[in-house]
Amino acid sequence: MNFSISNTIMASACVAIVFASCGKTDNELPTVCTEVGSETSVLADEIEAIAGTTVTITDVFCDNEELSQVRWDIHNAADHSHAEGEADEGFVLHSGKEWELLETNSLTGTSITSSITFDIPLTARGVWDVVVSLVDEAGNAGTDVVTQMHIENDHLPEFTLSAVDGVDPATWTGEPEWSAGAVVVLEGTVVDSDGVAEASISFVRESDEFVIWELNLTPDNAVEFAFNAEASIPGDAEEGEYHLEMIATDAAGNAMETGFHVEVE
Amino acid sequence: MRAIPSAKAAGACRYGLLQRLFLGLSLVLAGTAVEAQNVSFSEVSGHILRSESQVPLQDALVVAWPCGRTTTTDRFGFYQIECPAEIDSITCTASFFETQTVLIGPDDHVDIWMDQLEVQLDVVAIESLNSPEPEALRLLGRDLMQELDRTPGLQSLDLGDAMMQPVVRGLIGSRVAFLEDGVPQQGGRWGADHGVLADPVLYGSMEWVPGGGHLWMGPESVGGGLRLTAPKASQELGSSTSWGTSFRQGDQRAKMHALHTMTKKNRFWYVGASGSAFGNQNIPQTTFSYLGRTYALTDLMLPNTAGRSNHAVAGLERSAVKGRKLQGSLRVSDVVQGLFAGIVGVPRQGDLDAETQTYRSDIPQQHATRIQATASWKTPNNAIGTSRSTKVSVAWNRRLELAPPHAHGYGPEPDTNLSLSLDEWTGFLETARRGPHGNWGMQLEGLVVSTTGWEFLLPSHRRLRWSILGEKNIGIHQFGVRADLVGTEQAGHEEPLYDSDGSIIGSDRRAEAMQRIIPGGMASWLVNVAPSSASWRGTASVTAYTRAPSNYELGAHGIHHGTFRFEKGNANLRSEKSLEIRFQASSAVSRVDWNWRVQAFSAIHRDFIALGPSATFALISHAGQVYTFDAVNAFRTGAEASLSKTIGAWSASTDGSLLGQWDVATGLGLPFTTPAQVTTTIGRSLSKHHELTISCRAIADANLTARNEAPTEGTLLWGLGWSLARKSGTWSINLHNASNTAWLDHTSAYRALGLVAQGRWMQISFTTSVKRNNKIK
Repeated sequence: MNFSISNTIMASACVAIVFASCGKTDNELPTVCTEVGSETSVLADEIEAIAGTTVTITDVFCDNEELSQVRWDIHNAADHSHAEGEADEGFVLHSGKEWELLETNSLTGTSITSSITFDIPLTARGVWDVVVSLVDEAGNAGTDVVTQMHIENDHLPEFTLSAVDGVDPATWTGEPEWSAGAVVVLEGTVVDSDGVAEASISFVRESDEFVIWELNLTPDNAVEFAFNAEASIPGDAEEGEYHLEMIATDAAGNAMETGFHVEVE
Repeated sequence: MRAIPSAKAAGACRYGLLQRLFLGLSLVLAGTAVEAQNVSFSEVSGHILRSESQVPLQDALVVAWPCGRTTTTDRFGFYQIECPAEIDSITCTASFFETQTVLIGPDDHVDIWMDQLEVQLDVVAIESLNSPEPEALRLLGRDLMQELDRTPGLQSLDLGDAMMQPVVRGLIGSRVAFLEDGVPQQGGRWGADHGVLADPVLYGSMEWVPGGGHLWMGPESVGGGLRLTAPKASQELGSSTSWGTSFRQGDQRAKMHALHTMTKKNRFWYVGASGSAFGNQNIPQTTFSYLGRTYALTDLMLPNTAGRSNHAVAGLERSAVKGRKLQGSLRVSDVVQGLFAGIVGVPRQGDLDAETQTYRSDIPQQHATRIQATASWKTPNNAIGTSRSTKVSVAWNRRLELAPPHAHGYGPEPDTNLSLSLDEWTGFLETARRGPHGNWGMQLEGLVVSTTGWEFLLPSHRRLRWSILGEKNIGIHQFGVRADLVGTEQAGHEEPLYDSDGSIIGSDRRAEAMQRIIPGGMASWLVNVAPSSASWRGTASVTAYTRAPSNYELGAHGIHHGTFRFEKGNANLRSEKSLEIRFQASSAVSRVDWNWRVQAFSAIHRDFIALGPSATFALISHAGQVYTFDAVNAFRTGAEASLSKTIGAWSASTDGSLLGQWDVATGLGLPFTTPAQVTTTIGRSLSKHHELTISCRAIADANLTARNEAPTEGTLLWGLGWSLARKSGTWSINLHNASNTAWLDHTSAYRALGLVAQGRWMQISFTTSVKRNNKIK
């Protein structure tokens, strides 16, 4: 006997049965629906803050069916960027970069106001990203909303670099690259209203934290101390990632640390 | 040429009533149109098989006497022939086998075992499929990734050289069976990043089996499976050494392999090794995003993805007393590869600088090692063609992930680089009794896994599967049944819960100890479809099967670097239940007409385990949403087709695939659904052994997406190939992605980061084989 079997009927029937039972789902993403213009919203162009103070950020969140959670992620803006909602800040000397905040709050309903209140530590200076993530009950994740929080700090000494090898660092694009054996001229100031007691600059290999060059400045409790230093990169310096570190302590004993990454070629 | 006549004819089986019963059942179940011819003539049916191996002989010519009518056997070796007058004898003829004429007695079912002519033949010319699955398809290439990518229905996830993840009809990981000599690679094959450790150049053949519910592949083969088979003894005595070397510009991969086989009168052994070193993967891209943060990629490469891989094999096969056959093999694999730093913790820009040394990688890094020992024992066929076999295998698999210590939210940083360690022992035992009309057997599969490391992902666990299997061949029908019993247990895990100031405020319980017994099984019915014109043949099948949830799906609870997600299992998941129909057909091979192949399937899955986004965020800074394993009802359907033609020196072929996978409740797609694609190749023979090809792989937009999954745009990938075969060996050059197109591979987890697939590469390779024959005395 020969058989001629077609499975077309079976396949068609299965498809029909399955799709007849297919449901629909909530596909709409939750959003931040705060009115435009609020200065303490993640929708603001930027948020100004001062170290040592308490900040509250308040927003309204919306969803077509049911909200579930909001996550506030505040982290230092160094060494990365965000695709959305972030201005190019250029060269910034951050301090206290390790401070970050991650807080998740439950939300209910289709529209709700939610806030986050936090203390900015006295060690922080620079730019922090404020990222708000939303998810609704169906699991739809909203598009992250990002703004930047500029933290001013009157408490700590402040380093400023006006020129590196005669070039204003504000004009840099990306990480600077120095050559082994080079001598790099650093010009800038260190300022504190209580007077700068100690200050130093060092060049550190990141792989093992080895200090390959170091200079102790002599500010003598000056309120503003200008420096012009020559950083010598040894000719046998390994290629790789380094960090230029600037450390200062004011007359009141408040210490700070800042710096930036350098690639040695 | 020397012929060894030893014809045997046996068997006397009547299946009329049973056959009709199944026929009636098939009509009810399938709603198919069945046309049966009126049986009023004398009729004889049976099987034609190779006497030494029991493998069915396809396309053997059968002539019934005295009427002189002819037919050919199908891929099961089955024939059925009728005459207007009483049949008194049949003659069976097959290439390379001794022609036999058998007198027909009162029985209408006659099986014939054919003896091979001992002639000097190239083993490749008569090599047949080794798979027990009738739907198995041969994969011819030696570079598994390239072969997967050009085979419709298959795709590879590139996890580094010789550690790859096959995607079969849109499914990956533990839903794709991967068998070496019939032994499944089990254990840490979950997720998109835990690839299989194998190098096809050290095997004899490679096949893929589409679809789920295959009897001998175990319950994991939902998408299908791949079978790699050890080298087989040559038809001629002597040795053969094949070796090759290649260099791939792009990621600077340098590779060498050698495989030596020796065939002697009563034994056969082989030994081989391969090794490769590869640099960072080249990509035509300068930025990528992770958790919303955008980073720059310098030098057009994915930094810290360099590494090395080494594989070795040794095997022995010898004939023992009474024709019994003993086989044993030992396989060792070791792969070290850097992990792209952008996926481990929250990177900073400096982490993404490439190493200056081409083949060096730093942490984060993965180190995978596998050792597998396999032994089997098989009796020769007895008088009625029945043989018995036993196979046992033990394997040790270790996977280490090393990463810079980083804290999970709050709390102290770990003091080691060992973020995850999987230490797995697996065992496999299979006994089988095979005959011309059916097989039955038993499989036992065990897994013991210890997990350590500071990045908790899943608890230590154990798993044992016991299955009994049986299959019956009745004419053109093949029925299979398997009953499974899976027992599993996992340990609990908890770690301190820290506050933002570093103080311990409680316990973070990540896994609960549990034990489960999960029954399951499968039942299949396959029909061989062969029209009388013999211009094409194929199979149609329906199968119902279950798959017990993996231990990862049951117990995961942590961030998974391979998928960049915080994944959470569900200890209450039930077995997946599936009903699948499949059809495949191919034309008879012809040098004149178009050659074609078409395959299609539809499957309904109940309690299909899918990883989907939950309504909560993970409490870890470098993890986003928690993804949970949930049971959904799903529907999957798809088709693959190939068409080829040769005209003079020109050849052309096109291969395409189409796949749809839906969550029935939401109407959304299942994640990572492979988009439709078509590969067209045009070749020109410049001389007898000199060929040039140009190919274009067109990948459609991937718009069938899961929740929160972004669609990806389609692309065109151009390729060029050149090969020149000389006496000394074969030279070839292949150019992939000739236009260096930046494209997102929808099936890759890297796509979620916006990281494109590998860019243009060109590979030059040389392969050769040296044979030394011993004359038969």
